[in-house]
Amino acid sequence: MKSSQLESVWGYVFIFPWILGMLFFTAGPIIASVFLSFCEWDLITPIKWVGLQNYIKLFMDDPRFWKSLYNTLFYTAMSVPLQLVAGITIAVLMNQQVRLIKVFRTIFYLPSVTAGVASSIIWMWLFNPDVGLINYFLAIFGIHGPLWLASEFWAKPVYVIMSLWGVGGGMLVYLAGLQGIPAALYEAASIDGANSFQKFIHVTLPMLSPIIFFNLVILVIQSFQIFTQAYVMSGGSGAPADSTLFYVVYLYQMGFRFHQMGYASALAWILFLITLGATLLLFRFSGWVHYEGNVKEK
Amino acid sequence: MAGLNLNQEAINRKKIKRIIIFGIICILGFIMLIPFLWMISTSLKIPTEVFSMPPQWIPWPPQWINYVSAWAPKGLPETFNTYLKNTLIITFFNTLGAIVSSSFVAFGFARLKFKGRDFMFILLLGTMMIPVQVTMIPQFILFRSLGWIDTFLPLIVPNFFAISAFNVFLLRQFFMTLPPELDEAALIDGCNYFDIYWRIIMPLSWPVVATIAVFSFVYNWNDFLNPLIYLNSSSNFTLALGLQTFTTVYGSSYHLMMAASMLMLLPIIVVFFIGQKYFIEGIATTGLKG
Amino acid sequence: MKKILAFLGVGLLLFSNFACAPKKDAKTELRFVFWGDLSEIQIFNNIVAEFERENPKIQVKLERAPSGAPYIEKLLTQFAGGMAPDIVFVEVNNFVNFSQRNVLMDLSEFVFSDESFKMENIYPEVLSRFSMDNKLFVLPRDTAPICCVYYNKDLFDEAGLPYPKDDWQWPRDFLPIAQKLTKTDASGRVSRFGFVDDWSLWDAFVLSNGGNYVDDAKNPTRITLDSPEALGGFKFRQDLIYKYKVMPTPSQMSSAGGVGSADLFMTGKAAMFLSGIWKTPYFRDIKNFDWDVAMFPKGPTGIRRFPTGGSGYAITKTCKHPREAWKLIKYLCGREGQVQLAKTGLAQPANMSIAKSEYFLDGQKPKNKGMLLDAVKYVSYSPYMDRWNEFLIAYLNPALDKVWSGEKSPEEALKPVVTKANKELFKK
Repeated sequence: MKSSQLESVWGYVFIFPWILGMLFFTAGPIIASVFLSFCEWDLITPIKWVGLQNYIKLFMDDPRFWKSLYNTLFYTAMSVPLQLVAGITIAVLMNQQVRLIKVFRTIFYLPSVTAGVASSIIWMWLFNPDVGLINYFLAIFGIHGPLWLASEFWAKPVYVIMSLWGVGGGMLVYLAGLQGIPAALYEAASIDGANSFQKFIHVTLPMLSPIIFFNLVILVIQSFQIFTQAYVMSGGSGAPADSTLFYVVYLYQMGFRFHQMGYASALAWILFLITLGATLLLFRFSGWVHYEGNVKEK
Repeated sequence: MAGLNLNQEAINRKKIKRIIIFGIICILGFIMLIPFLWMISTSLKIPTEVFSMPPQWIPWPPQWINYVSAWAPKGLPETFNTYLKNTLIITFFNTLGAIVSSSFVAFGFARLKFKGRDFMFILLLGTMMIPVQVTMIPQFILFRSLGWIDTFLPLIVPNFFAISAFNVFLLRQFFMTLPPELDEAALIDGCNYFDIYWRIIMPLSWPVVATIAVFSFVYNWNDFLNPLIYLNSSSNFTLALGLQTFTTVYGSSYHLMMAASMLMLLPIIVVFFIGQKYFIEGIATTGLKG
Repeated sequence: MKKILAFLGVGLLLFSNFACAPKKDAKTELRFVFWGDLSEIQIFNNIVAEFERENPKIQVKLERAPSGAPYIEKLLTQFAGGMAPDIVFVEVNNFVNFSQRNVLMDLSEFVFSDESFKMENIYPEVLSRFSMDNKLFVLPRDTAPICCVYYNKDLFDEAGLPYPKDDWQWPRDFLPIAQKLTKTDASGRVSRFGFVDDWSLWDAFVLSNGGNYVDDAKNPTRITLDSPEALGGFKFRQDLIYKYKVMPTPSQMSSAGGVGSADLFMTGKAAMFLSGIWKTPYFRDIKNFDWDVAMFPKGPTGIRRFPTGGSGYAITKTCKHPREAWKLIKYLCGREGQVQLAKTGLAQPANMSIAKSEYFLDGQKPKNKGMLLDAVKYVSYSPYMDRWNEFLIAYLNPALDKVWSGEKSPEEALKPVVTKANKELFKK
């Protein structure tokens, strides 16, 4: 056998568990949801085939679909770049040899694991326009704080701020990446007379680029599906006046509150196409990502 | 003399830089901590103090009893120790399954060339892009037909088949940063690809494998939706599911809810604080990739 | 690969223990899904244990789920997945989604043939809610008129006001009282509100102003929340916030979700609080003031109506042992269960004789609890309309947000959405 053939065989052997899992656990439900998107199903009575009706209604006659799409794109556009930058910055800071660094790493990591009802409630208290801590601080600087979650304009930024609080997961991935950068590269740069900023630009960033790329793709996929926080904080409604009606919140309402699982599935597949498009674009323009060797090149 | 002065200056500059960095870290850290401090403070209050104005940061006397009531509510047929045991079992197996299966699959995607690889990789990523809300019910039907409802199997078995695209993607990115010469040299030495995966790539990827372990631990520790759907008997409940008892339709006991959340968090704090020695500082200075 | 398989093998082996629950032969198993707070869970467990002792042939599998949205998610997944439980605990409003889809068993046959069951003991208003076309779908556990105006007695004393009587009216009595109890500090900020509601309880104002949700609650063909009477009710609540400033704005509340309004009352920052009787156990923790309840005031033309909660037990059509299931729900609604429920103070038993007894009227706070016996006559249920939830969430609430934020009048905000909903939601 030629070595390239051998490599192919081994390749399939390695991804075999995933193929198996995909066939067993994932493919069925996914195909079922494609099928459901052409049906009407209230979850209780039998399924009824309706053809393209869900998709037609979605595009022609559903203002809340557009509204939720806009809200989600707005959130994604704001939060992804901010989270990306904040994650790298904090990871670099957490990679310094300073006192108590282990404690600080823990502090920065913890918020990302505290999602859920309790932390949402804490945020609602903090953002309370009258008695919340945030407006209290703003008042110290003479700023009259906005109404935050009660305002149609400021409610979405609240979620962006919350997402920044949760950058600890991204930070951890960067930290793991920073470990892999050989000290020799920094030493060489020092000999060439580079200062710390130049070292960051010319050594850290390129070496970290595969990880940055990873975080970018993951953040985009996750932001398109923002759900739990928004669901808890608006009681599932998207209040005020649908300004925090994010895409998956709307999809959830359709499926589990309005008993229209077929329509919800159609919504899901539109979101899938949008996310896939965005991801493929990111891959298409990933020339800036620096991989060792040439495995990736075609 | 001049040389010494210069040195002194450089040292001073370095010191100042350090202090500035430390200052920034402290301020940022404090901001990150505020919601937590509030959580801790609330967890030690009596119900009427929870919303008192101006906010009371240090409740006096602190109600440590809240933690007892949160952990061992009276009148349940099972105790939280049962939930803890269940959660530990599920978390342990899932973490194990995630590490073994994801790294195996990721090695294939990262370091081997075969037909359809890139397409299949996009397919893998694609599974992350479908909201779980629409696949949940078909998946339930699938596991029901296997007779797995009200067991831990639907929560555990898929994890042994690299079901998490997140893990595979992350590992693939790391594996791709390792120089290809490693594989070539090993092949010449007579290793097969499994040896390369197990003896060369995995030992070099310790930090990211540990990161996956942390993520997987945390995800399963906190997961609410899957246990909610698949576990029926309260003796099979996980902590995240069991703790929801405190939020009832008709209002919540915030002090208990916060105490329970802090209890949930405690093991994560411990695991992370102690564990970081292994996955962040483990190989920091050895410069593997040079 | 071998290692993976080995791990899997061990895993499967380990969990097959959990997979096969020991099967006790010759026993009929009933799956019963419910939610509840700690005291309710305790009651369910006690009553079912008692039932199993009396009926050794029946084994009940109690499946507790978290309340609210997760409960519905879980239940719907089970229905959709063909694994519906035998007995479900349902809430008066969610019940419609199930009964209209014909998945609940008609209980009337049992009710009429079982002489040991005394239907006349149950509030007729509650039974009527749970029946359609002469079929009864749910055996009620409790009723919960949302008419309890909890008031802080100390604040009334301080202001020299007499305590509210149950026959008060909102323009004549309620408003002036609320105004007198509202306090503003030196900087012009409201430091104490005269009145708050548990969540946006516009229903009570709309209904007692003579408005209605729909033209016919059991056979709705049109939503009527744009009628002058309904709009007047919305307007009054809006005025309470912006014109009279006796109620907090949505931003003064801890934003959406209504978190904290009960706590405003508990901390003395609100003098009156509208909700249902279920707040009682929570408020019994109040140490620093005395409190009681009054029935929600009548509207300007003397109409008295309010929304309601409540719950009960239903048997699903897929249940293979309906006779045993009936036995169980009858037992759950029986004397012992109702007495224990009454004692918690959490809920008003659907059984009138227990509600009237000293178990419910136990002399504990709130002293005026007895008014609830009368209040049941004035409750209004949400319409029998499958898409009512959709109307509330997708049409009404986004529009109402603009009313409660003071941007629009009820007429401006609601007329267009009600018109649109009437066009969209009744399509067959």
